[in-house]
Order: sequence, then C-alpha cells, then structure tokens
Amino acid sequence: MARKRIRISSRMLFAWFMLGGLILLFSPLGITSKFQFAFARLFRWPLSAGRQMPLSAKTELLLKDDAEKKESQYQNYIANLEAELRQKNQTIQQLSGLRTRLRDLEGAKLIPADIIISSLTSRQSEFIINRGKDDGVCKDMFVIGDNSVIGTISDLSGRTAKVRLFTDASSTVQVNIPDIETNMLMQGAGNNSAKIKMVPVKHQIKVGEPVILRKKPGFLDSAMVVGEVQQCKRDSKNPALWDITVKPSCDITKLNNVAVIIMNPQSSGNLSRAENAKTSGGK
Amino acid sequence: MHWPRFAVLVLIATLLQKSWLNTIAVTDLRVTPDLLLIAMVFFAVRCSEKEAIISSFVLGFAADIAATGFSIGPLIISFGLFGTGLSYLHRLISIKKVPHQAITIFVVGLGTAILAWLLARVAGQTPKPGGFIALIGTSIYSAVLGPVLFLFLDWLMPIKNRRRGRK
Repeated sequence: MARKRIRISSRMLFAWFMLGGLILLFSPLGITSKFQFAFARLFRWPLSAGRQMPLSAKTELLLKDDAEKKESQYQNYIANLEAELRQKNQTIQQLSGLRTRLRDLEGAKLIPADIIISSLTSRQSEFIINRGKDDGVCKDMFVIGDNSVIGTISDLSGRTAKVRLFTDASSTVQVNIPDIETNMLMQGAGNNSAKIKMVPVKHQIKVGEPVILRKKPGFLDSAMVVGEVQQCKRDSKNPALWDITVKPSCDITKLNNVAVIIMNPQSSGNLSRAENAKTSGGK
Repeated sequence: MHWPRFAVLVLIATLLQKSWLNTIAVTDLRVTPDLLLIAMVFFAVRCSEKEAIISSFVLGFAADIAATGFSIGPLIISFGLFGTGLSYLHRLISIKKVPHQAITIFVVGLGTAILAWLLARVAGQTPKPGGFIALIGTSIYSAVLGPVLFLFLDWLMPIKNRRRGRK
C-alpha cells in the first residue's frame, strides 16, 4: 500500500515551530523548568563525568588543592565560630539579664547533595544538585559548601534543585562585616565575586576580613561566613562610599558536593508531608 | 539529512556544552564556545530550507535546555528566527569561505543572545544581566572554532547540496 506523504510548506513549518516556541516562552516557569531538571536527571552520569574531568586531569595540582581546601575549610570553620561567639557576646551585652539562647546548626539537618550541573559564567552562577522536594528541600533554603554558605535554593523539582549562588547577578543577601554594626546588602556580580556597596568610607574595612551572612530565622538561625573581602576601593560614582568586592570563602569551581541546611527538620518534614498530601489529594 | 544522526549530534553537543566544554574555558570570564550555535549556522547554510528550519528550532530547544539562566522559549525562537533567516540569506550570499563563516557565526551569536535576552524580558522573566564582554567573547570563540568544526560536521553529516545558493 502506497504511503501518503504529507507535504507542508516551509512557511507553515516555520509558523508551527514559532507557535510552539511562543507557547513555551509564555508558559509558567515551573512547567518549563521541568524540562531542564529532566535533562539533568536523565544525563546525570555524563554531566557529572564532564564536570569532574578537568579536576582529574590535574592530578598533580590536586594534592596541593586538597591541602588548600582543607585549610580553607578550617578557616571557614574558625570564622563561623568567631561569628557565633561575636553574636553571642552582642546578645549578652544588648539583652543583659535576659536569658537567650542562640540556635546554631547543631539542631539543623544537613542534606548532602552532589552537583550535577554547574553553570559558572559571568552571566550566571548556578548549580543543579541531586536533591529536591522528595528529600525535604524547599525554596530559599541555604546551601553550604566547605563550611561556608554558598547560595540558596531558587527552584526545585522532585529529585533535583537549582542553587543560586551568592555570586549570581540576581542574588542579593544581607551581610555584615565584623566590627561594623551596619547591615549591608551584598549583590552578586558574576565571575565568582559579589559586591557590597552603600557602605560609608568612615568604616575601616580591611582586605581579607570575613563577610558574614546575617541569620534568617527559619532558614539560617546562626550567622555564617559567606566570603571575604577581596578588594575595597572608593566608589567611582560616589567617593563617600566604599565599593567592596567579596570573593566566596571556598573555591566554588572545585566543589563536587554541597549540603542543604534544613533548620527545623520536623517542621519541614511536616511541610513535605503536607505538600505530598495536597498533591495526592489534588490527583 | 540523516535525522537519527542529527539527533545524536544534538544530544552530544548539548552534553558537551553543559559539562565538558568548561575544560577549554578561557579568561577569568570563563568564556566557552557555543557548540549549538555553530551547529545551527552549519545546518542553516548547508541544508535545504525545511531542514534548516527544523534543525534551527531543535537546536534552539537544546540550547534552552542547556542554559539554566533562561526558562524554555527565548533561545528556541531566536535560534529559529536566525537559522531560518540565515537559510534564506544563503540563497543570495554564499557563506562558504572560512572568514565568511567566522563572521556569520560571530554576528549570529550576538544576534541570538540579544534577541533571547529581549524575549525573556518581554515574557516577564528576569534574565541574568550578564556581561556584554562575555557575550562578545563567546561569539568570538565560537567564530574561531566554528570553521574548524564545520570540517568535522561536513565529514560527520555529509549533506547533499540541493540548494540554489550562489557558487
């Protein structure tokens, strides 16, 4: 039996594809990002292998890097302890007589995750990790790597999540620098760096000083180190202000695994159960 | 056109774009060539119009999947528009010499990125501001690498030329 061949003109073909593209363009982000997550999940192995290849190719440098990495981890750990101590001292001074308790990460649950895809360019600084809603991860949770906070969960599916790093241009977080009691906004600048602006030059800021992420109740109950001052110069537009460049506390390009902080494991577990119930109820 | 071979090529290019290509990133901006863009220009100037349209949109979809900065859509449309436009343009202007191929990749690289950024804004998304220098860097890197990859693609995807393009 002869097969009937469907003929379609180039213009019609173009129109159909354009229509498809426009439908996808104006579809909700939650739906379209599933394609990206599915791709990351489906090709997890080759993507991970590709990420690790440049690292394994530099075996000689790895030993040195490992020592540097451990040193960096210890320094971050020390910086975290100092930040916690400083915060405790401040609380004691400010609320003398009142019994307060600083929550730290002891009660928090840390979910280890592997990085499937890392996008570290001047335009974007993001990871896709192999943990998602099914593991109790929620949006805006903080992610740590080498004992320092590196970013937050920006989007997630059942088994994967997108981590927006603090160096990403669309990221803004509240930070402070020890000895300066001013809240500062740190904006990602791409290229593995972030910027702190609007800080008056009356404050003395030294290169190498740790930058501490302010606590965010429910998500991060204790201040943690996020980076260190890499450069501090006067703002070209307003010389009365500093233009501070911050680099992450750990070498993000060499990270292979991270951990998601769940501050209240029970409540988040309840939350995921509630979400599951809602989903199954909806079906 | 060998469509199964094309599908495998797109898949490999997407995986390479997303992971292995970081090994050849240059400068502090971590500029990498855009393999999918090079492939799009290749198919737009080598295939028939219909094949060029299909391949451009498919490569755009792959580019959207690979680019975590955008949601799906902007790159499909920009790749589709530029690929189709390039295919029609190839009727009038021959893009066979290496410098011409390099210039075409550079211009199309800039054009697709800018259009995708604008489309993302129109759709109410907040695309990454990015650096114009990085964008130019990517286009230049792709333009340098493109003609070399064209030779490889010519070997891998021998396309019978049925075009009415100028000699």
